[in-house]
Amino acid sequence: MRGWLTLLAAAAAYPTLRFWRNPGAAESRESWLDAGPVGDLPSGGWVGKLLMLRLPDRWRLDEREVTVYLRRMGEDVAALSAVCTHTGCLVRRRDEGFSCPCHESAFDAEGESLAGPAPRPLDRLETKVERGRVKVRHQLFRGGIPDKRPLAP
Amino acid sequence: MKVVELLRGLGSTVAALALLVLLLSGWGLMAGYVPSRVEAFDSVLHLRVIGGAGAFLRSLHYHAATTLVVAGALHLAAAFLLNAPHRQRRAWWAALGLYLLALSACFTGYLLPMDQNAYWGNQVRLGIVESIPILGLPLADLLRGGGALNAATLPRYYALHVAIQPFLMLLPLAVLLGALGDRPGSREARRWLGVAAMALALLYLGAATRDAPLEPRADPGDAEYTPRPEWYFLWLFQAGKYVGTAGWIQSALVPGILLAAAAGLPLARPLSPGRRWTALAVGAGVWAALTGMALWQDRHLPPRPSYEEALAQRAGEIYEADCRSCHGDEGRGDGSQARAFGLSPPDMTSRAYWVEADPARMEAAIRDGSGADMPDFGKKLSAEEIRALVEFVERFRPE
Repeated sequence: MRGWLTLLAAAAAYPTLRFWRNPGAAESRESWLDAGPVGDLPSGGWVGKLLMLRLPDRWRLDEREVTVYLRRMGEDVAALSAVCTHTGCLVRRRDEGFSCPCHESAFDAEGESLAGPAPRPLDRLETKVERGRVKVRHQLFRGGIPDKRPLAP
Repeated sequence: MKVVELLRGLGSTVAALALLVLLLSGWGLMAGYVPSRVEAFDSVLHLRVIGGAGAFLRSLHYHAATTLVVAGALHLAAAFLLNAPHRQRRAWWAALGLYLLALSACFTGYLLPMDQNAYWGNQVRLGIVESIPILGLPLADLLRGGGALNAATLPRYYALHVAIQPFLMLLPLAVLLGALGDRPGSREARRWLGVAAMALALLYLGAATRDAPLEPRADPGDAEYTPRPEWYFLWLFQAGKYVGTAGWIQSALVPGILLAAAAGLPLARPLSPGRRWTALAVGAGVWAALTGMALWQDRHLPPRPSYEEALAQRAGEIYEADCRSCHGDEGRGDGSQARAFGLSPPDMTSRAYWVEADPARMEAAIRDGSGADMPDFGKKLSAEEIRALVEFVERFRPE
């Protein structure tokens, strides 16, 4: 009797479980964020920038600011995600490099891990220059593991 | 042993009362809360703004949650000392399961207000979940409904917090009520009822005098925010500083092993009373040492401002940047720009100004501009900031 009841309950719960497993994925769309004219970036060190992200998010448009660090060397622009590779806090500039306020991970000026629990360097983001404006590809990566693997959008 | 028995009774009575208060105050909060990324914070803020019943309800829920965590731990510790794992095996497992469910309800409830603390705390916790091998990522994705916090996330946390987790608690609760049930009406039962009434009075007092904290609205781009866990989880946070790379080792593996040990106790040979005391003392000592160390290392961390404090500070900065040059340091209307261009902003330190002034008109003047000289700041400042500015200039009003 008990076994049948469990089976019945499981069958009744199935539609809910199915929906929880797959609520309709958020639309995946390339998201290149605009970071302004190349010329506005000072040459040399990293500068923190808040970039506007606009992504379709299920039934609404998600608009929020994303923090990235940019560095211009001549015409080349490099971008680092500010998301700490440990548990996802945002790192800040410290000395030449970066530090995380959560578990005290430290990174050097190339984003390489110097100290603390972060398992990999800060994540580089793709950049390109289009008609004189810097574009940064927004991506999130799985935290806490040594290799850089993008998360589903 | 008599004292330990009393402590166990106290723990279970207070925990049961806290659970009841959480359930009932939760019903109230459900009627005021909107689980949407856009509106969640404002709906919680509204409870605070209207004060009275709204603020009290939220504070009560908050304090009852902390009480449950503490009283539950007290009950479990005392039950352990009394050899409950062997004498009342089913009740021990039920109590453990209930405590775990209560902690998981803290996990989901924590995100709901969508203030800075909620957002960043959840970010860190999910980051830790993600790093657990094999199971971590699917679990984090299941909780979020995707790879990052999205429109489906808050409804999921909400469903878990208000329906699924409380419902699941019914099972261990039924076991516990069956096992611990004193005969209703006995003298002892009546004594504990008195204790519960006292605990309720204390909770009411706490909720009336200490508001549940609310920090500024979540800002996913804010690299200046320093998240910290609730005080009872500081020990895990501190342990994480010592065990290197993967966050899950301290945050999932260590608690997982402790939990497995606690759940496995009834199956192992009973520990002698001396051993039980030693084990508990060591555990409490480690907890206290790690917590103390975390607090000590954070002693230079500035206190985190409440929503209101942060907004007042922001208003001060806006006044400094946009208003002072004309309205002057003291609001007399004697700023350098005003003098240079021969403008005459009102003297906000005069009684005459405040006879005419009312908040709605002042807000409109900031938003839309006023006369020829006052520019409109409606595009630059949010309605919230404008309201805060009006409150800020109240300081110029003469006694």
